[in-house]
Amino acid sequence: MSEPCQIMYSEEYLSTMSSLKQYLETKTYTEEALQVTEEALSLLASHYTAWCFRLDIIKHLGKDLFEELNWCEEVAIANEKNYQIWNYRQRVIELILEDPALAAQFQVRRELPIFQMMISMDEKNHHVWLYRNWFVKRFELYDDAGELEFVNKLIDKDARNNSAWTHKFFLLFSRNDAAENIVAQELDFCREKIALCPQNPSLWNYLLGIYASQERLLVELKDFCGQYANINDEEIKSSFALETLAKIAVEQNDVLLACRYYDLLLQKYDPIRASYWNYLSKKILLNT
Amino acid sequence: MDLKLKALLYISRIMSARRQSSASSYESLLRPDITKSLQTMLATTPIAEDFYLCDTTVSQKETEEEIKEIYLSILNSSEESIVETKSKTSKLLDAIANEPITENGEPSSDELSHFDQTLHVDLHLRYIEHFLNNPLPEGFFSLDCNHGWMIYWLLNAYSVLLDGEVPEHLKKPISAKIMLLVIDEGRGGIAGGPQGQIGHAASTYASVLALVLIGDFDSLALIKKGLHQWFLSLKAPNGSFVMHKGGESDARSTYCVLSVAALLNILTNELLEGASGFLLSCQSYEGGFAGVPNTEAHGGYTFCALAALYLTPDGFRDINMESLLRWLSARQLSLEGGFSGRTNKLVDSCYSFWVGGSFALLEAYLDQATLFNRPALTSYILNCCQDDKRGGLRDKPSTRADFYHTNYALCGLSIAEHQFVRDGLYNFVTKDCLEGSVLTIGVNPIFGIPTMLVSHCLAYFNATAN
Ligand SMILES: [Zn+2]
Repeated sequence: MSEPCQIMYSEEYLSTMSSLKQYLETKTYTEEALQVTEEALSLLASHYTAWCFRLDIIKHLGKDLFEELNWCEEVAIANEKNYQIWNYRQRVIELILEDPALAAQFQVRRELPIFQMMISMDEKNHHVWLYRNWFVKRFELYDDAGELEFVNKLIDKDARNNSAWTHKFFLLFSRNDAAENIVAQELDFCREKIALCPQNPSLWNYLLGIYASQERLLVELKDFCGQYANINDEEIKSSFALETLAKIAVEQNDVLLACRYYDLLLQKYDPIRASYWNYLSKKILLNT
Repeated sequence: MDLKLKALLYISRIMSARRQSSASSYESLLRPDITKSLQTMLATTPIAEDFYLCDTTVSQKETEEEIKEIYLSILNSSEESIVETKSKTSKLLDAIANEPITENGEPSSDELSHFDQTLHVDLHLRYIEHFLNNPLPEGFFSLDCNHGWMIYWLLNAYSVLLDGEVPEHLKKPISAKIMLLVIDEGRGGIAGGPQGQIGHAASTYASVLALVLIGDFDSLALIKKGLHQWFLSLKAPNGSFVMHKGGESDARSTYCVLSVAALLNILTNELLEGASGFLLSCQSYEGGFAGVPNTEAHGGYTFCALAALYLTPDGFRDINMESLLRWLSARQLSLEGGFSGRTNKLVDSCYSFWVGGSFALLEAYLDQATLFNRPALTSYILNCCQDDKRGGLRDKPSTRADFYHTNYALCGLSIAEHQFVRDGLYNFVTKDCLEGSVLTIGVNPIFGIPTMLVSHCLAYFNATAN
């Protein structure tokens, strides 16, 4: 029996990886070794060992770190789904920032075109958003007007882009010091979008997220929800509005009303989640 | 009625016992009638539609259309007569099994019965065996940093279908292969592949699971001390772990380290320090967990965070359960029945385990029989994700089967077919949801391998402690 899951590598792949192995084992930090990491990564961008080794070589050879960032961009565009590259890029930028002379040359703006490029290829690319999150934290760009404009544009284009909503929440509400006018502005923004597509979960999650983070009472939303879930006229435009009405009823200790809403969701408006609505009803009944 | 009930349960027990003893009939003999369930999924809820158009809506509609066609063709077909006779029994059993959970009325016996596609067990086993026994074509170089993963995905899928068994002739070669990837008796972790690759926590996780699947505890005993030392070297100041020297640290890497440590009985306080604090900080405003704080809630990271928290003392106590449960429930798509990994993303069979496993952990913790729609998930996996020509399972109908989805779709099916009750610190007693009709064995929702193998491993390393 031969080795299970042995891969029939191509000649090219095998020879590149075996020379990489030689350089790795002998810890050879030379231009040739650097070249081999480039070849290896162009063949297999998920080769984490090659990324680590490349960074060591760059450090030893004192390579131009800005050139390295440019090179990274080319690799990123060719490998949309790769995530090692974003970790690598972070580490190169950290190296730049460690050196005061280089840090002075580093412009935060230089990161924006590559974001734009990557996001236009896939607006929900998890790894790119993860990097953007790090970027905002690292350079404290929470209040940067361009940052907010960037997410708002994406949301205007597709109000169901949950990655963009998440980033927006992070910018505005992750530091627990959102000003009252920002909260009011976001609640308005959210309500406007809900008017466009009431059955969009990203919007309701954002709305409920603001309420929870600001510790506001949901009862404020009662009339608003009523516009999208009027059970007397049996006109339901959003199961989330109905769900929120149930939450409000719980908040106000109106157990019977809450159960009535849950039952409507269970029977009619969201039957796939019957077990969940059933669990919630039982839970509040037990608590009374 | 009582006697009748007992007789039925007896028959079903015999039938399920037969499956386990007879290699020629893997397939279960009872199949639940899914007519009502499919009708509910296909019925458009009476919610007024808006006319907002965007990219997300378009791709969602396309996927729905494709799946709708599959389900409609099931409802429009009247199956061959053999199933008709079975259906009576299965309906009765169905009614019995569902009685305490759903408040549906009596199943009417005049309607035509409809069934999920059978699980093509033989075909999937052949698919797995083919890839375990033959060299992989050149194109698989893309998985060259995932050798441990390939072995785990294939072996685990096999064992979930075959009562925890793996092919005997593969045990030695697999053990030899993995031990070649071990660096410095574990002090450097386990590498993702050959040619000088360094240790990687996720590859270590997959490789350790593969060794547990083949029952090679002796090899694990040789490396556990080294691994503990290596894990300590990966510890980050915020309580998480880095994936490898210089790598990223997130809920996934933290899960990989803690779960291996728990299996090998080396989960020390040093390793646990700060971990639950980090994991809890990953819960997003939506309720699910992200890889790192303040990023998007995601099914894969949610599973990792929950399974890892389950291993920490009191980790579950400080979760915001209400928002978590809300988010998890929202993952199940109304028409498709399967789960999506994030808000406003498409259904994908691998989340059957990432989200399904998360549910199983909560069900065990909250002592609830079921918190999601098991028949709907089963319908998605069986009817939409099987490649019924070449074998293997896929993400969704428009994609091709691969090792990863074959494993996680089957693990998800296992979650859908069982109920989970706590059994000791890290294990669970699994009960068939519908006796006589399960196609898989119970998978432990912390570790993603059959519960019985977790028991063997824990017993081995508890006995050899000190
Ligand atoms: Zn998937």
